[in-house]
Amino acid sequence: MASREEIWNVIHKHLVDTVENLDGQEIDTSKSIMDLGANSLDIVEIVSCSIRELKIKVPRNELNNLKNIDELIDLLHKVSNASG
Amino acid sequence: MAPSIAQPHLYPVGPFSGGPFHQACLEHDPRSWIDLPGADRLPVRLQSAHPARKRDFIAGRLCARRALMNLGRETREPLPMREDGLPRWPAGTLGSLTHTRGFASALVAPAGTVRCLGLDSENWIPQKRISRIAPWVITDNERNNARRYSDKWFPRMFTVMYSAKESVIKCMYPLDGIRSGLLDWEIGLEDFGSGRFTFKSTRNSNSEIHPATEGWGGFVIDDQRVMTFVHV
Repeated sequence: MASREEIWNVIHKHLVDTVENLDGQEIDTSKSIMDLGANSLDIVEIVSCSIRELKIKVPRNELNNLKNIDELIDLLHKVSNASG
Repeated sequence: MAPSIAQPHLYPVGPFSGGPFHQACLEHDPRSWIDLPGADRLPVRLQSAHPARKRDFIAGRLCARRALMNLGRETREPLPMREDGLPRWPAGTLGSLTHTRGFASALVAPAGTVRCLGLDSENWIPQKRISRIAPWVITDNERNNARRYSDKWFPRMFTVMYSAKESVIKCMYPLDGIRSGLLDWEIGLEDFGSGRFTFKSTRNSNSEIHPATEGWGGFVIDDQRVMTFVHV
């Protein structure tokens, strides 16, 4: 079971690894990942690497309609708590 | 499609132009800004977006403007953005936009000629990246089918399949409002040289919610990327 902050730290690491020029920037989690400069393939990589690192299983249809990073954190937190 | 160039270059006719379809493409240096009349009126949500996102938005809008002009629809303002981030096409038209690093394109058609369409482009995905994301993109069935080709070809097969799925998802979404996932569709590439692919839903319930559960689309490739197109 991971806290919301731990989940954000994992997502943040993969976000800055994947999207250019984000490292060191303050990131507004109410924004969509795309507005932070990621393309659709980057998003697949950021989400899949985060889920793999957190060792959780997320129903795939729940990932399709996420609007921003806050919603992604909330979903992974909910799944992590349910499986913890 | 020519290699990337320092100055943006707009191609007023794209490879999928023909019949009711009008396509425009733009190649640009992804490190440089692109001027677009009206770009100072970016949607509010994009004003603080990453420069790459703003650049993609502008590149896509330039293509949309040109493709609509080819259709006989002059637009002065950049195409507005819907709440869900998709472009709001002028009444009587429908279309699809795509952008990838250094490239953008728009495809439009008069409303009534097709129910929906989807366009996507992807730069070739390197094997290292594919290893990290493959289980999230292709089904076991697709992976087995791709094994008929040599390892050397796998990254290209994978990129075409990924782009084809993105085109299908974009095509279906405006009609049903349901954003399906990459594993909800299986892509068939029986003959890579044909420039055609087939798509089929992997979910039984899709017949109730999507306008089509199977069909085919087209793709074109060059040294840098693939571009795919689907319409229903």
